[in-house]
Amino acid sequence: MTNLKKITKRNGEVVKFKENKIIEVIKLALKETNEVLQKKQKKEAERLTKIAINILKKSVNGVLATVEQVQNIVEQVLMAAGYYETAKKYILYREQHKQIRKIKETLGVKDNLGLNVNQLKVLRNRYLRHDDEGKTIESPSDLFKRVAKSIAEKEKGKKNKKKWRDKFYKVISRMEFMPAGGYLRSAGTKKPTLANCFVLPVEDDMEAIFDAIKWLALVQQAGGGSGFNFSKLRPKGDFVGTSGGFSTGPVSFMKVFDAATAQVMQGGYKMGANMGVLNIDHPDILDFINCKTKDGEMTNFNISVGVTDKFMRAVKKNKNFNLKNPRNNQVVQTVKARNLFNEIVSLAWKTGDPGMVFLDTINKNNPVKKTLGLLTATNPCGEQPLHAFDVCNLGSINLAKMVIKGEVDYKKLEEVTKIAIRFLDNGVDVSRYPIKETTKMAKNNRRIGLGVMGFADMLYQLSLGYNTSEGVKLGKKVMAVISKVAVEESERLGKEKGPFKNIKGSDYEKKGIVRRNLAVTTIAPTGTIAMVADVSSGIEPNFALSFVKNVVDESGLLYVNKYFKEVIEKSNLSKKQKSEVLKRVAKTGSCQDIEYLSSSIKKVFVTAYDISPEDHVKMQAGFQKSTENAVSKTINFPENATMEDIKKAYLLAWELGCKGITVYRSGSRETQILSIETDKDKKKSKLKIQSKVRIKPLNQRFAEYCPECGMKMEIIEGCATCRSCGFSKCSI
Amino acid sequence: MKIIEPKQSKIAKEITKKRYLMHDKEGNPVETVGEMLWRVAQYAAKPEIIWSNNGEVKKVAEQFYKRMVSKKIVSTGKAMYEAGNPMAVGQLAACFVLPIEDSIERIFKTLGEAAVIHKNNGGTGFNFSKIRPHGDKVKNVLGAASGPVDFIKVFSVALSKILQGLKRQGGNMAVLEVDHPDIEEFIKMKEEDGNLKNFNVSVGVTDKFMQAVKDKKQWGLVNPRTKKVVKKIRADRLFKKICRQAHKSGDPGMAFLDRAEKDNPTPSLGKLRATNPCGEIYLLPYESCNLMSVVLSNHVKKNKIDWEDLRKSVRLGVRFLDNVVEVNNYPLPEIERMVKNGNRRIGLGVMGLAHLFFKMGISYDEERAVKLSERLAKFIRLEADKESERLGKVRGNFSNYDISIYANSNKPRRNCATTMIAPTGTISMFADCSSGIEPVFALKTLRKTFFEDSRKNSPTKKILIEDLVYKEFKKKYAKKVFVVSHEVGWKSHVKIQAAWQKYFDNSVSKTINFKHEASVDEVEKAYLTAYKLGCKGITIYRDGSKKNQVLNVSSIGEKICPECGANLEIKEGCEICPDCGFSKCDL
Repeated sequence: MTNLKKITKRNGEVVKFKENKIIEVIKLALKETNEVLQKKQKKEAERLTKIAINILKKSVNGVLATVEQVQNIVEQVLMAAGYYETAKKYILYREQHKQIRKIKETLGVKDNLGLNVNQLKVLRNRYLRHDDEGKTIESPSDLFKRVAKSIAEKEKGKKNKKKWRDKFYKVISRMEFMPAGGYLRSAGTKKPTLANCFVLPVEDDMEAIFDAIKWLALVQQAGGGSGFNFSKLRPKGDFVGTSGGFSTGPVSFMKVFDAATAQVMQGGYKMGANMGVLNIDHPDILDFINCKTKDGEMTNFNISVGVTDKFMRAVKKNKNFNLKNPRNNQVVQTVKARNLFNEIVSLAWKTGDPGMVFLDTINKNNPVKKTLGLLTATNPCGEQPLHAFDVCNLGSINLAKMVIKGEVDYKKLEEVTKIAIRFLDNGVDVSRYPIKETTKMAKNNRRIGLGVMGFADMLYQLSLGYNTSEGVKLGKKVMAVISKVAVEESERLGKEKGPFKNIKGSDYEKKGIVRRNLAVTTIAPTGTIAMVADVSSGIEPNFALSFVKNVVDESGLLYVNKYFKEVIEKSNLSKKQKSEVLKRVAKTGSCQDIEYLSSSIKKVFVTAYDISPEDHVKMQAGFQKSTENAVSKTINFPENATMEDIKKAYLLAWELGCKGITVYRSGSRETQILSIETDKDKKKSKLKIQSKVRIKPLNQRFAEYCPECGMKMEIIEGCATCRSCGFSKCSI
Repeated sequence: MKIIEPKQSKIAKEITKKRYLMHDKEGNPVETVGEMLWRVAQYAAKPEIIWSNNGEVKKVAEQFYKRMVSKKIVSTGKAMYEAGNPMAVGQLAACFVLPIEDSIERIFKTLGEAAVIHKNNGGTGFNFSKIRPHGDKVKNVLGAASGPVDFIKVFSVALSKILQGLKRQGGNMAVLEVDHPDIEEFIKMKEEDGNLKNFNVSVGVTDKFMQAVKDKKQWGLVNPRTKKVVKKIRADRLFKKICRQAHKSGDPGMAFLDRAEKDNPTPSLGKLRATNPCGEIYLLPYESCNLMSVVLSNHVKKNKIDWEDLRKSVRLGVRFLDNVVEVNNYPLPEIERMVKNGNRRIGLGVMGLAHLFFKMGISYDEERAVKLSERLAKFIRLEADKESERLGKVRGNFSNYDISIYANSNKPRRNCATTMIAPTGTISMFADCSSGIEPVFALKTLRKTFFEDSRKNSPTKKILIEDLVYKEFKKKYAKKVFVVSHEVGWKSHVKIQAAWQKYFDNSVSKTINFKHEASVDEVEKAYLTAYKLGCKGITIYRDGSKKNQVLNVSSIGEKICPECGANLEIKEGCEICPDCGFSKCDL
């Protein structure tokens, strides 16, 4: 008698034979075609399976059966039974899976976690280790083990190490928690750079400026990005005592920073992200606001204007505002605050830059103000305000995995939060830092940033609209829970492992709080790691419900948001309508224009451009409420948005207590490319030659297209991310 | 002391007023030329007090002054402006070499140091050869490294953008050695990137390479990180590439490193691998050189050289320079250690050679000119060394003496090296003489005069100016005596350079000028001849070559003075404006 207890899988693995699996597959195929009445489908599937197994037993005759054989027989049985349509579906299904297998093979990644092709591709491109020939030598589970092990090494004792290693591995491999890209890339290697967003000081002194450039290069080489506040630099045309010349102002220095970034290679690419902040009262503020539009030299900088409450109030009341020389604090110019504000808004409308950083709001949550001073700059990743030389260890909880049966599983959320905090706190010690001063600062502050991703997917699962008060309420609640648990865990760790060094003289000390970390929560940009987990990024809405991706070759695979697909399939639309819905969504990304789709579905499945800027801002503010660091988010505007719309959003963000705001109007950067080209055409032929040289890197400059694979990128979380290959300028 | 005013042409006066005199806030000069020279003389005499009594200071100051006011010796322009000027920074030296290592941290530290030097109106030279090639491994990541050219671009942008507000913008020199894997990229670098205007580039070549060129052999490009040969190319083809590029655009020059190393007085401190942008003087990292020039044409009496007078000038010149080493302000502590408390390298040079030939009826293009050059060079070097020995006896040897090649000579010595032909563009205009050892550029020039008080320095009128010495002697000698740059064959150019280099221990700043019609072949021959005759380097310029780079818009501007808009002349490896005296390597 043939033994059919086991079966050989395609990869040679021998597993337990499960009759049920065959039944399920046949049932699915029958369901698709309805060749058998719906209520009889189950029975018929069982009957057919029995027949198939009998044939199988005879044909293999004592040898282990293979999956391939089983499927061949099922095919024959379906045809013999006269279910030709069903057999066709089944064959197509097999063919499709065969293709996916082939793609996975081409990718050269061993999939042992049941990941989809996209996830595997991103992992392979970004994080899995390669040998000198570029062959992948790590499987995804190897990768997560490597990360978990290296971070658990900081625990005391063998037993503890093992305990935490297993816990870390569990949450990461289940994709309930995903640490920042730095962890995935370099934890467990010789020189782990886990945190890679920095803020560096710029002083009004030639040597100090070049120190900052040196640090920038070191950070850049280590794969990181830096933020700078240039406001201490004396303005253009100001007197320079020693050389008898004139200062060239902060913007000229930024160009040098930009050039350094452009030339220092980062992991094989000349790419880097910097954040430049200039305070609103600096005399060169207009040059700064315009610095990215005129000559296109600042390709490696995001820029933000640092504004104060005083300024915002002056804007609202249409009052005058003073620009001061930082060298001697003398008022250089007095302008209407509203004029300045309008200038910022009009440029943001045109190009997306500059954003705004609300300095007073930021410093409301600065418990070390007295000892370390004011926060004046943010890093390029997610506008995380940091002190000079400080850095932040980041990781995100995958909210899409925190839903059970249509409800938020708060218990699980709390558990994962605790583990994640411990994980990130260990990361502070495991990480190496490119600059000495940073090492010190990182260890003395132990600033970490636990955030979330997959929030939009969570809303889909809970049938809540992103742009509804319930949606915002949920965001507030989820973040409040995370924050509460995170702070508690940090306090507990403070007792277990000791508080952070700079707690001395801080507001915490005054209140009698013992904490392990200066701050614990950040909504960081999650572009690439969200792709690893196959969920929506951060707290951003989905960009589209469906899109085509080029995975290996040009053929392209169509992806539909799985929650949307499920809901459509379950709906009582006709078969034809269902397939049309998917087709239309594939074209536009949105389902709002589909007349026959129920309003309840439309309400839930909103995408970035279906949501009004105001609602974007409200969501950001909702999360900011319970986030100690800042929230990374882009406020998307449709192409036809007016400057007035942007103005409103900036004001609302300030009023609602956001720490900063980054906007992006659809197509604004494209328009700019066009306008620049026409501008050049008007000029003399002599300049045309120059413009040729300049036009070439434009597509890189405006970050519309991925520099690696050429696909159009999405602008989310204040950053451009390529959905196709996972490239992100602020990949963390 | 009675202040007298030197005899100067109108143009010389204007240039002095604009560049060297102290001004008040409105830009009006607050001193006369004579007063300025007295300020310089006093400043340079100040340190005499260390080795003698107070009376000596005044005496020496007067000696300096007399020599300067009679235009027998002229200090660098930078010294004239800076010395004893409370408005200035007191950094009298203009040329520096800084180290470049294969580490991001080190590279950017150097960039910071360069910025400080430039802020104080100096120029810098670098050898980028230690940087691993573009696309090399970094910490196990393949293809991750930025190469030398990438960093040169950063330096170029940084040093031009930041310093655009300064009065003068210092020049830069980048050397890359011929066995670096990125050498081909380096050769073409300036043509492809119009932004690199503030960099001169030279390929550092070795005897081994030149031999391989001769033998048409394979040449290995070596990754400096692994020391492994990563690519092989034919040496003669690489050499041709350099020459073709130079023919096309004037860049790159060549630096003959083994030849330079032969004159290294302190080999244990490191090899001479880089030159500064001004006149390609070889310096060790953190070294700088103080310069002064003897005006040869002002040492002629009745068609003959006044050797005794020349001796006095040389002696005083060396003394002046050694004093300056003492009182100078150094922008970085490393430089002070290397210069003042280390090598005390000085460079006494000459200018007005062509005018001397005019006065003596010698053609620059004949063998007599070469012979006389050798004689002059030998004499000046000998006298300079004698003075350095005398000073060494009185003041003590230079600090690195014991590890220098002089350690076993039983002779005292104050300076590790004494002689050099510096670029003299602007100061030769101050002294109304031909610059350096260059031929006269043109006998008649159309010049636009400019006056300080006119709006934006705009040219006011055009006048035809005749070379002063030519004017005086044109009737006395045959026409062939008065040859100008582009009439002199490249061979004579190279021979004159070699003649001076034969005796001078630092290097010789000179441009080998070619007619526009010159072929690549001729350029090649010039490079080979310069090498064969023992020059330390060579810089060429083919008339109009930069103008022909149609694609490179920015280089068109290179031929035009940024201050007054006149056409620039190219000599001594440098551009100089004949109208306002603007020069990129203004010393």
